[in-house]
Amino acid sequence: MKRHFRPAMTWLHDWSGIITGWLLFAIVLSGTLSVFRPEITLWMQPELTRQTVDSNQATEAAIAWLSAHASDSPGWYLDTAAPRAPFTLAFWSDKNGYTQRPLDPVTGSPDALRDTRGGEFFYRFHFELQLPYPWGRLLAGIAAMALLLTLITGIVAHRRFFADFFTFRPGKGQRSWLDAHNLLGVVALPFHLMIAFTGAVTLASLFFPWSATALYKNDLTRAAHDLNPAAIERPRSGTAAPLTPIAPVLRTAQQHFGKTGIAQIAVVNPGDRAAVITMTAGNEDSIGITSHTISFDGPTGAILAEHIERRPAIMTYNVLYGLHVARFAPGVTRWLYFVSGLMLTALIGTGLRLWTISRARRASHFGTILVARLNAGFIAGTPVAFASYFLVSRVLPAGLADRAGLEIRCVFLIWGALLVFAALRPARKAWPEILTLAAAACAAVALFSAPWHRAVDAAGAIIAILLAASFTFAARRSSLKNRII
Amino acid sequence: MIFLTGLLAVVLLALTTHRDAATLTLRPLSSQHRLIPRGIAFLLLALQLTLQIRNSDSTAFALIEWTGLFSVEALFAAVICTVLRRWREPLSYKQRKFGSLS
Repeated sequence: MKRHFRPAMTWLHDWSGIITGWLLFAIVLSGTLSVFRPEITLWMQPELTRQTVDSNQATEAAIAWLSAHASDSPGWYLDTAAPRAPFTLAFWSDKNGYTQRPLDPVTGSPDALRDTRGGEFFYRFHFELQLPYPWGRLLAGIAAMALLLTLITGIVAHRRFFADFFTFRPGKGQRSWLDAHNLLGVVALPFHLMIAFTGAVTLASLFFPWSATALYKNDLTRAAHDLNPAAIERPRSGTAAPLTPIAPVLRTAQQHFGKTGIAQIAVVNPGDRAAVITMTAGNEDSIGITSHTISFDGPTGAILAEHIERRPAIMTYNVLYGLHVARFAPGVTRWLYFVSGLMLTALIGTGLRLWTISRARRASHFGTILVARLNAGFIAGTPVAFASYFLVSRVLPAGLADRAGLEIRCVFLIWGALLVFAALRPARKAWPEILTLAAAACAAVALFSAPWHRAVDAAGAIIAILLAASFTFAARRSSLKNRII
Repeated sequence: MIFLTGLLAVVLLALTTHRDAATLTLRPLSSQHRLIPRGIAFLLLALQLTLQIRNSDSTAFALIEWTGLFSVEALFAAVICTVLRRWREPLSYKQRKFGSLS
């Protein structure tokens, strides 16, 4: 039994890794980028030049604009302006369906700002994969569980965990790839395990819905109310009533929330007698999310309900979820999440590459060749596709209709084209070509960040230059190797 | 300062592994000699965590940051060991050909 355990775990590690590897690579890279979700949105909105805004004033302006232009929407959902994101992010419904736009902090209008999803695209793609509900989430959940399984079996499979803790021997072919894979896996193992486990927990209710189904049958409203008793839901009355002035409501909420401030506001049934304003506190002082909620009566501004979460099971879930999304994270921790996320992306990439290298020595057959080619398309192509999202955002005219949708379609078009290109071309040629393209795309992102006046543009340019340098180095190594062969 | 404390700790930890001890000191340390840098490394890591907790508003935040810093420092230490090993490779060849220098 003991003799067969490690080989069995190695086999499981290899196959769970290769089956979900490409999907995980895209999920992890998009998740890593969404650590800087508000900053990416800001980068994609060069019109937003204000460094600081008053969150309450921005909210008042947003509510005023929505009252005038989106009074028919069943609800308005706002992420309030914050130092990281000096704009209100609003979600409402109009004649074209639901729309999400940043609103100008002064005028409250989205008209002066270009239509883009910004960082929301990476955040949503990370767990929805641009697929309809629930398919994207189901796939992301399966991928998270597979990542956890691959990590645990990888620990068992790694023979010299502590002895080779700091070992990397470059220029030795398969040995170097294995060293890089082990090193990237071992040094950030706590992060990898945490992010895989919390990711799986975040989507667990999709896989284990039976407790909620048994308890609430199909009454989702009651389930939602029990989860957050202060989130009052009332049916529309049909009697018109203006919304109370928002400033006193904001002040009351601020007093109740203290230094965490207001993070989210939901106005349900605006303009109706049954309107409800629900405010959720920020969570910059705790790891867990959404622990304090207050609902106000829309027309009068009176408090309807207030809830501070203290139930152990929900608090545990909130902490696990909070650890995953890192909304609590101060600057340094956010950067550490970003770097560790890049390490996890590289870990998956080296694992995929290792799988093909280890099989290339044996008689190569169609499956191995195809995987080797698609590896080039996915591992080198995904960064190109994601970088193109930034470039397209700056290139497309600001006033174009359905601009946000077009930006996202461009990403998938470029991604698909690169996959087809990689599938048709020998891997040894595709690798340096696509890596060179990735380097060029990142360098272009740095250039498009000009004139680098805003901190977010300067930081974006620095990261893009570093990535461009890494891809140039990888492309050069890759083409040199071809020449030697 | 906090980062450097951690980096020193992980370099000392690298010194306690067989392969990297040879890289950093030219010859492998005996298991008894390895105990000293290992002990100092753990002390430095504990000091780093203490400093982190003192500087942070929350112990939980400090623990998360310390874990993340350790990963980056370990990666740095691995890069340092790799660069040193590459630099000393011809020496290793001489050692193999002409015997130990010690």
